[in-house]
Amino acid sequence: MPRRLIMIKKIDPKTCTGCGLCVDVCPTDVLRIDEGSRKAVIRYQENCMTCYNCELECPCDSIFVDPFRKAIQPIISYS
Amino acid sequence: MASLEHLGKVIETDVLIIGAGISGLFAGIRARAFVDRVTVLDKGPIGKTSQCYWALGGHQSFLPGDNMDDWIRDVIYFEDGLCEQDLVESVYEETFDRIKDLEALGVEFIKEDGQYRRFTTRGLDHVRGLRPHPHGIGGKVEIEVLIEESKRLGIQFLSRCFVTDLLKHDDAVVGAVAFDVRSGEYYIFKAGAVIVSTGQFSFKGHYACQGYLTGDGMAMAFKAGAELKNLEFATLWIQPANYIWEAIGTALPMGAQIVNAKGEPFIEKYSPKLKSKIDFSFLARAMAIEAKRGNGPFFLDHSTVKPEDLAFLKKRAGWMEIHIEKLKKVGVEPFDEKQEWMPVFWTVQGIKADLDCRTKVPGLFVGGRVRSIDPGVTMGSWSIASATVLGYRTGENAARFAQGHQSSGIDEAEVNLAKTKLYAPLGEVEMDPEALLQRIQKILFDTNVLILKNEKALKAALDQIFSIQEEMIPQMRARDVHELVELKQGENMVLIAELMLRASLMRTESRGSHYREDYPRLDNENWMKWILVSQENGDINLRAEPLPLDKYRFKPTRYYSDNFRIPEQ
Repeated sequence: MPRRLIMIKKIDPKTCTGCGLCVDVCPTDVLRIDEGSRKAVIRYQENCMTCYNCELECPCDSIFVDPFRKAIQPIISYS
Repeated sequence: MASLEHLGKVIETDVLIIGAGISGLFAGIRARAFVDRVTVLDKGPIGKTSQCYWALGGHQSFLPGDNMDDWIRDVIYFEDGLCEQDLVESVYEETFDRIKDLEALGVEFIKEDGQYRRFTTRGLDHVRGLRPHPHGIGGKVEIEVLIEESKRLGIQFLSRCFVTDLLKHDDAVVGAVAFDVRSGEYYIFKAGAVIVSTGQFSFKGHYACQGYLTGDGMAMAFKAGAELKNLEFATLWIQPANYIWEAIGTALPMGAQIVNAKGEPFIEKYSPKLKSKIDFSFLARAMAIEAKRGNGPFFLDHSTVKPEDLAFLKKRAGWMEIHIEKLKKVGVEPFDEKQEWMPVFWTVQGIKADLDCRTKVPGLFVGGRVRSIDPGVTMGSWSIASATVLGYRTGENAARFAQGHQSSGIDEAEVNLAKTKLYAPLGEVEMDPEALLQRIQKILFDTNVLILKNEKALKAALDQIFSIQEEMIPQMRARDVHELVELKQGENMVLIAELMLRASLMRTESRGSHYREDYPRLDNENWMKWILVSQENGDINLRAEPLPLDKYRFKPTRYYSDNFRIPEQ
């Protein structure tokens, strides 16, 4: 089955201050502060559940979460 | 104790609460009235893995002047007779007390002319719910005020702490072992009593914000000797095909309808009386049958909703507000165009407990939605109402238990074994946890396994689960601690999947959300019973326990599933 790994799409390193708020509020622990750049990075994208916590908390408007969730096996098919 | 220190960080507490949803938070606050040391931990950030956090936050509330007999009869009917009548009554008796608790902490519930505005649910005659302000983020507000109150009371919070096993001494639960989901640091909790309040179970499914519901609490309680119950009753729901959505349960009673590919509001043929007000497990069943008849896919049509109701539905706050804005930006108009929707798996639960929220294992208590109550049908606003009442009750009873017991020793060898087993899969990846998740979903998310069940499909699914257990799980490796969490969650999902399938095979009738194509009728003669699943010496046992109807106040006489019929093609 094709998987669309698009939920949390990007964190803009130009505007991210590395404050870590997004890392703190992610329920599924998708984000980390990169040890080198000291910016927030998407480390485990496949665990994102499109809740927008990170985007809502970000004081710098650096995060974009796509509104479409990851494709999951549907229960019924129409073929 | 000193010998334990070399294995991990040791924390002693009177009451340990695993899971910081609305139930766990109420449990902590109530327990604190009796004991000094209350610890609430969660595998995610405290409060933000709560299902309540994402919900509208409605509560069923039995108010002064309501007739309890009417309410209980509603629930018995709704649950096709398979109702814990004494428990449901005891919950309703306390729902308004918990509303008052929340109001005292600043939560406002919608009122008109000074009176609570009450909402109907699933076509029931008497049961009614209240909803908090502001519309859309009521659940978040409730969680946040409870967290603040917990902090004020000095309750210890521990975020991102994943419990793998409960610890036992002389057959009683005396603590738990856990690890930090980032650093991997090992924790050993020594507790006077333990409450599991980990919420509902899903397979990280399609429904909104379920990426962390993986059955951890059910699995740890089961392994510690508790019984699980009602696992054949998967709760089904509906969701958009490509994105998540909250509060469809509000839109359908207001006139929104699911139509098939021909534009027909087909549910009227399946339930002429309840139509779109019918429980979602039945709506999902009708969709599955329509799909088999070549009438899928399905769309949600809001054009039949009155303008003032549509305005109410559109007015959102919090995450749903930003969600709707984003969808519009990419050309999706959720209210103005027909959107594709599909049936989805919502939850299964849970652990068997008594009126005092005790399991059969001394020292182990259960709060909230991880406890089993209903047979896969879900009244609106019942989940949060029951979670608040049972959380509060669990907190009191667990604290009283802790007061009356000397703290017991923890077996160093037991901790050492659990720790060694936990970290063993860290290493080079041969098979990663994401592959396991996809395999589980492929097996379980099948029409004939979840919605229109039959023996052949259930047995085939069970065989596939066995092969995962034998061939895949031993090969699983985690590159880091995060993947170790995913792996442990995967193991728990596989266990619950096996138990669900076994229970579904055992119940040779149709009731509540459990529908067997090969046994399509209610069979009260043989199946006015609960199926209980437990483990002894490594063997899984299933047994059927009759309802104590001689002790209950009412005999079932009406059945909700009689509202559903399969129309001629």
